[in-house]
Amino acid sequence: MFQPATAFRIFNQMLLRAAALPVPRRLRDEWLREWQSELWHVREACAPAHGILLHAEREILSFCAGAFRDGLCLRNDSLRHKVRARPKILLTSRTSSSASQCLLVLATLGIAAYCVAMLLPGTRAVVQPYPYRDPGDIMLITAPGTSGAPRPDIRVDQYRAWKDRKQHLFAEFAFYQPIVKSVAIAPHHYEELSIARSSRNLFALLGLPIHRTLSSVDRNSALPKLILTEQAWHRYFGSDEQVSGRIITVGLRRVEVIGTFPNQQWLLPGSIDAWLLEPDVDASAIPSTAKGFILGRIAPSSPRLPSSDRWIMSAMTTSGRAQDFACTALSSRLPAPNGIFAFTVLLAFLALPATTSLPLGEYPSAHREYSWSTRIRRWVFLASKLTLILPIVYFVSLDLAHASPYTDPITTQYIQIVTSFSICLFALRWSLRDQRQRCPVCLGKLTNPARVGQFSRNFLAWNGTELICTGGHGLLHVPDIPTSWFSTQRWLYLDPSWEVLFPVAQS
Amino acid sequence: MAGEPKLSHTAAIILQAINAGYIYGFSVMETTGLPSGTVYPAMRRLERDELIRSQWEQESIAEEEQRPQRKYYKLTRAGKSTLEASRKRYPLLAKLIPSGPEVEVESESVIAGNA
Repeated sequence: MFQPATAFRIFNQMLLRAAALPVPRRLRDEWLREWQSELWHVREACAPAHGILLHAEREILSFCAGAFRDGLCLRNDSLRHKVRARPKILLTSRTSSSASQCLLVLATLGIAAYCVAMLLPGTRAVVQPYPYRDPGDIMLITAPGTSGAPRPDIRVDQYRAWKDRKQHLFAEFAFYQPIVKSVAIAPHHYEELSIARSSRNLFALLGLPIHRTLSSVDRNSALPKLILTEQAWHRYFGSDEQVSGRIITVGLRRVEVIGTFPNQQWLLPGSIDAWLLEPDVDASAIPSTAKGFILGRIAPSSPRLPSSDRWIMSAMTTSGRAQDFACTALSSRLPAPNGIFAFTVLLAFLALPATTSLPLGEYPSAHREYSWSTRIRRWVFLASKLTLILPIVYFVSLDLAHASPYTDPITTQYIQIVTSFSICLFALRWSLRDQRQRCPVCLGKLTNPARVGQFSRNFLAWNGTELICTGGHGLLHVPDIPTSWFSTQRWLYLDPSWEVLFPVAQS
Repeated sequence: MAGEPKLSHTAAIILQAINAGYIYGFSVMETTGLPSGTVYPAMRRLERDELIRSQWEQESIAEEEQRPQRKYYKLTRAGKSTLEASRKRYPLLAKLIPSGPEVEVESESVIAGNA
């Protein structure tokens, strides 16, 4: 996985390479070498040795942007020189290089979208793997019949009873109760935080790492431990690196802060600012009437279970009667951005024929046979475009869906569905239209559109637009009104006698 | 001199900066406050008009300092006389960019000259 600083370096290099494309080939290597050398020195002067500084990256980016102007100036100077040398030559623009430019721009866009994804905490949490250990074996146990978000309905008594009893199905239980408590952030400074009061083994059962823990934790082992979400750490503690090991008051109890955890990775019910881990597994400080959630880890030797992620379990309550409980695997609560992406891409492919015609410009009047490599190159170009488009769609849709950290998960999914489908459909449509407007021989963009014919004479002659390949390979005729004798675009290949008009392209 | 080209103010500032000892692109940018998109194209035009010439520094020096080789720029004789003419045209030029660090550019015999 790339670090953001590495991603910025690669992005800057890509920009310089993109800017080098207009530079005449004989000067390009030296031009690029000078800019890369200068970029190295600019980065040394502006950017910190470790990590990233957005202000510095912006300066470096503006430095790289200057390379585009330099490259274009060199190209224009070179063209002017050619015009002076051969005034009667019909100047033509680059052809095949426009195809590689197109691919390079797409690749740059993909890297940029990936960099943004790595900078947004929400997107980064989704793209990176979740740290839960065996999420398929961890069950969230709630009262059955609750539709929508699960509610904290199970008393802590039930947790204690199950924990003390020998179990066949579960190897371990944990309990947590979301509750609002007053927390002393500093002397005379109190904030109401949403605390998950939980048994000591909650994080161990989930297999979650706690960041920035100190070795001094064991010194106050009798105190309850407090783990802050990164959001609460930034908001209430000013991102203080020394917060680990500090003793603060939650309600009337003294607790020890032992670290932080990214709130985007908390997938269980309840909006939590901090977790208060009781010093004992029984969580004896929690009143017996308190209601919360129970988590159970399925024992490896457990009997055969239903293959579904959700099932109902019947168990004895503390009052001695049987009751049903809903068990939901943690794996079913993991976000599935890949599934949404695959679904929307499929939808976009299905919707594509409604927005543009699918043929890539069959040229029925083509009489010249070109080599297999020329024909395959055209298809490889289309496949490359589609391959580059997919990661752009994936990362841009995730960036937009997770741009705001305050958006709830359901809304986030809807945003991803809409943006992924829209961008994918637009990109597929563009790639087909772009392909149709390229010369099948050199893949250069067709230019100089000219109107041919008149609408009023539609039955006597064709009317439409004529485009030319500046490489001198031919003319494309696109009818304005498809007729029975001229229904699709036609390619008119030019024979070698026309090459005199395209000396620059041929040289 | 009648044949000397008349420089724009920006080109004259860059010429003055190079003459003052700021002999590579980034140092010219830092001294003049001009963006990279202005400095580098202007230096290329100055080089095309043979008012400055560029040389890559010795590879061994860059290797010793563990950094990429730099391309250094230096005024030609024509560049010096054009700068003199520009100073008369823009009297504040020398005050805007006073003489800075004198950096010795290695002789052409040991450095690959620019094409």
